[in-house]
Order: sequence, then C-alpha cells, then structure tokens
Amino acid sequence: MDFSKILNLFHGGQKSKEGVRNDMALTKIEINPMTRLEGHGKISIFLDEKGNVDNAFFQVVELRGYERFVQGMPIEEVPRTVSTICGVCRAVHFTASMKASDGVYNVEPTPTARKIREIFFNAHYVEDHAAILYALGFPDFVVGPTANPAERNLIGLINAVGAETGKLVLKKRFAAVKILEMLGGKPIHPVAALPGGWSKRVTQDERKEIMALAEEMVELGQLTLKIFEDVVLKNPEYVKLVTGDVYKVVTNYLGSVDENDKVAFYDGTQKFIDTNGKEIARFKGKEYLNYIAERVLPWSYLKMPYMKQKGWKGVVDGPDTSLYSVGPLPRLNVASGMPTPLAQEAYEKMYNVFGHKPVHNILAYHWARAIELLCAAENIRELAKDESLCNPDVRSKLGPASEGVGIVEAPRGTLIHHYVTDEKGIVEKANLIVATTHNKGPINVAVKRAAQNFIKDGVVNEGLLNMVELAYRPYDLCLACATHALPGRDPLQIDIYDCDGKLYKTLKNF
Amino acid sequence: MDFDRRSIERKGKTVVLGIGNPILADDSVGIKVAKMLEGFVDTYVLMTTDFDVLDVLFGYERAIIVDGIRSGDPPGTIKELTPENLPNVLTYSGSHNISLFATLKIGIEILGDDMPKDIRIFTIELLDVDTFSTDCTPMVQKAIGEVVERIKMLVTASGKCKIF
Repeated sequence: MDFSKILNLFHGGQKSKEGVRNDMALTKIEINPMTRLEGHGKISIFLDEKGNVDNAFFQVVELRGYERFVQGMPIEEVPRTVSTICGVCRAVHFTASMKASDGVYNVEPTPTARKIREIFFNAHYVEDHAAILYALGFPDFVVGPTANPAERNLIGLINAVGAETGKLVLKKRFAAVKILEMLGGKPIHPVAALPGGWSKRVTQDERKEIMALAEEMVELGQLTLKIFEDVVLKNPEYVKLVTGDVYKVVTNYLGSVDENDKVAFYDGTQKFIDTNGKEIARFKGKEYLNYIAERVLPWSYLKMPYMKQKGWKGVVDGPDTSLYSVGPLPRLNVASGMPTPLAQEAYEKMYNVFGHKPVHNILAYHWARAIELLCAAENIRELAKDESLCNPDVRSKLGPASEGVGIVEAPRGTLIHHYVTDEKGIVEKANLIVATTHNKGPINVAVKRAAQNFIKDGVVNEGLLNMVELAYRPYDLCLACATHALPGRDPLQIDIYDCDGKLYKTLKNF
Repeated sequence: MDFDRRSIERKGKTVVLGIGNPILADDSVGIKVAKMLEGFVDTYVLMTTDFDVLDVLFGYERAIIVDGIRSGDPPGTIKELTPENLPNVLTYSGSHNISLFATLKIGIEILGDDMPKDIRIFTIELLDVDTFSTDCTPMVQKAIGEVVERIKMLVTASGKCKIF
C-alpha cells in the first residue's frame, strides 16, 4: 500500500480532519481515542510487501480546549486556571502565563519578584526531574530496558536499590515541594502570580529556610548523578545502548540561553541550532511566530511544529530535516554550558563521554535531566543567599493591556503562552505550544526507527511494545493529563497493518 | 528535615485528600468533597496521583482519599476501597500516569510506618469529564453529600474509638 501518496494528498490540511476521518481511503488509520482525558497513545504501523516497516505513526489526543476556555477571562486569573491543564506541570503553565501577563500589561517584574519567581520555578524543576528520573529513567536501566513493564517501574527500582535510598530521595525531593508551597501562597496549587510581580513577600526566616532546603536539593542532585554513573556509566552494555544508533534521532534543537549563552530555565533568549550544532536563529517573545510553523496532519489532532525558515520537509530526521526537538538534552545541546559550577562539571563529563556535540541519542535525555536537577538546586542556593530577596518591592505599576507572550523552559521543553486581550485585560485570543507538541515529529521518527528495528519480515516480537515505549519515554510525554480519574492508566495500543491495509496484529498494554 | 517535622505535626491525625480537576465537570467531585470538609478535618486537593500523594499522606495516622472513577457503574455510584483492592495498575509510560495503586504501593514500601495505618478510598462513578465546567452532573452531585456524611461519621468514630 503506497501510504506516502495518501499522506501527501492531505499534507497541508487541504481537507479538514473531520473530512479525513470520513474518507474511506483512510479508514485504516485509527484516530478514534478510547479516552480523551487520560491521554491516549495509539501507534499505527504499516508494513510493506515484505513485511518490513513502511511507516509508523504515533497518534496522541491532547486536550486543547483551554485556549478557548480562557477567552473572556481576566488575564490575571489565567495563571491559576491554566495550572489545571496538568496536575504534574502545574507550575510551568502558571509561570508561562504569568510571564505572558507581564507582556499584556507591558511591565517587567521587580528585581525581587523576579528572584522569587525564579526560585519557585527552579524548585518545580527539582521535584519534576526527580519524579521522571526515579519513576521512569532509572527503572529502564536498573531493572532493564526489556524487562516486563510490571517490574520495570519504581517498585522494581526500590527492590534493586533498597527502600532506604528510596526514602532518602523522597525526603530530599520534598524540600522542593516545601519551597513551592512556601512561595506559591497555597499548598500544591500556586496562587501568588501577579502581572509584573508576586503577591507574597519572603521573610528573612523563609529565606534562611530556603537556603537550608537548597542544600538538601543539591545533595539530591549529586546523589542522582552518582546513581546514574553507578548504574549506567559503569555498565558497558548500557553505555552502548545510550550512545548507540537505535535510539538516535537527528534533528535541530531549540532551547533558551542566558546572556552568557548558558542554559536558562525561567527566562532567556530562545536559540535554534542545526543538526551539526551551528546556531541558525535566535528569537524572543512574539518573534516565535516568525520561526515556528505548525503543520496540520491528517492522522492526528495534534499539529506538528517545524522550523519555518527550513520549510516543511516531512516527518524525517537527518541533516536536511526541519523538525526540531526541545527538552533537557536539546537545552544542553543548544547552550555553551551550565550556569552553575557543579552542573558545569557534569555537563563537561557527559559531552566527553559522547565526544561530540550536539548529542542526538535520546536516551541521554535522562542524563541531561540529572544534570539539570543539580543545576536547578544550585540556582536556588545562589538566589537564596541574596538578602534582597526579602525586599518589599514585589509589584510593578501596570501599563495599558494588549498582548503578551510568556516563554519558559518547562522541564519537558520550551513552553509558549500567547494571549491577546482587550484594553481591560480580558482575554480575546490564546495560543499555547507545549513541549510535547514541539517534540511530536522527533517522537514519530523515534517510534518508527524502533519499529523498524524490531519488526523484520512480518515477524512481530512481543517485546516490541517495550522497545517502542523506550523510544518515547525519554521525552516524558505530557498528554491530556488534565484529569486523573481512576483507574488511571495510559493506554497504548499498537496496530500493525499489512501492505493491503488489513489489520495484522494488535499489541496493548491495557 | 521538614519531612520529619511534618510527620510530628500530623501524628495521630486524619487527612482527607480530594483528587480531580476543578474545572472538568464530574472530575471535580473528589475536590468538592474535600472542600466541604475543610475545617472539620485536615484536607488537601491534588490533580495528580503521583508522588505528591505521598507528600500529602506522609505522617498522618489515617487517610481518606476521594476520587472519581470510570468503571462502568451507574453515575454517582459510591464505592469504598482499600489500597489492596484498587485497580491493580503498576505500569506507566510516563511520569504523568503513575496510578494511585502504584503510588500507594510505593509509599507503603518506602515510607513504611510513616504512611497512614489506615487508608480508605471513596470512589464516585463519573458521567461527564469532557465538559469545561465547575459543576457536576446531577447524579454525581447527589453523591457528594453522602460521601461527606460518611467521612464525617468515620472521622468522628475514629476520635472516639481510635480505630477509624
């Protein structure tokens, strides 16, 4: 079946998605989600006449209704509302929309407010990166990448490293949670955002407590890197897996850098590099529209972003690709180093092991994540040393309302919130581009490559599900996780079609 | 440090944790129950079932978790479960979908005696989790009051007889 011809017919969105779904020629492409809200991953794999992989598609359903829901809402209410987009990523949507609200009112946060925001945001990095690494990254290596998923999880990790280590990690991660609660103004869900400021001052006692908590988090960062070194770097097989070609996706990269070209989480300039590491563009704020285009695809509700200057080149990687990746590894690839000393040492070690930059091996996302965890902890330690953190100037005078863009480096990658308001600050339009959307193209490439490696001559190995999951786990997808109603699983189904488009085999993890 | 301090502050106490999304119709049901119990007992709300659950439960003597469920029962159906008879889901493909079962199992294995001795989970069958709304559908709304009363009775009884 010449599937590429069918896809080319629809590239560019000449037909509406509804039309595509109703088109009999495309009935082999399953788009129907089993459940919208828990995030549904569906992979469709198409085989050629010889039973080898012709193409593979990773389809996700993302809840995008928030862009409409916030219309008519005062911009200052938006951070508290969009923090419900995702229970895990709550602080990042909160921060990006808060920065956008600065833009709407044409105001910069005061120096004190900015420092508080940065500590808050870095604390989120520590808790989120720790969760991903210990729940997702380490089990792949400690328990084994091909182990049964029922064992390849945190419980398997605890069995391997011991409950005491697990308890230590949880306790040190809690230091970050404590800071989020202290600064956010409310346990779990922050409420302290203000356009041009922050509604809650920091007392000297709180500053000293943050300093002590920062030491705990730095220790967590060091412990995490040590575990990575002991488990992965001292095992030649795992080093081979991390540095090998099976899980390699060659794309351009996007990340934020500070004025010294170092990795920046809360604020910075957004920088693109090509597949060889050469800088090809920088932008700030609304300029993102000049550099990022989104392709409507017939087989997914989620648009696929690509670099506007390079033009649409398809869902392919390699030197000519216009796809780009975001997240921990891309951030390190894009920057010339880390802003803090201990993280810089770890950064140099990672690139020494690979011997080149940029690194395209996606399993290195976890390594980069561990380095960033340490960096975020060091950032907090440095910021909390400054006694001016307790200054009373936490609010700026607002200008007239109009339009604002807030860009942060969320733990999973560049996050863009863009709002247009009326003169009273009531939202009229909203556009959100989240990390998983940026990474949609690279994830598809990774999934296809894994499928090509594990389906040969029509023989479908039952372990395929594991190996394909391994291809997208490093990105730690944020699907439509807006609700977590029980039973709370993320169904993944792989449908394999033969060259005539007939369903050949289905694998499920549910 | 703070983890241990929190453990001392919570010793002997009960917490009610409501889980859901406050603006997705019936999915807000767990949060609504927790909000109605504010002032009566320690309450928290979460939009996730990951490690944050352990941060909330750590150190408490007893925990009551309220969450929506989609199991095919009629909307508004109330069930009372224990961690052992939650849907047994240990697999996850990302940090966003660690199940409540897995999180509680992890907590019990890692934190041991620092986890509540009694954990009960009230589930309420949902109908609509697609619509942006702060209101629940009528049958689900009706279940909220009953769950609140049942939790009040449990908490009151626990204060008298020291079991639950």
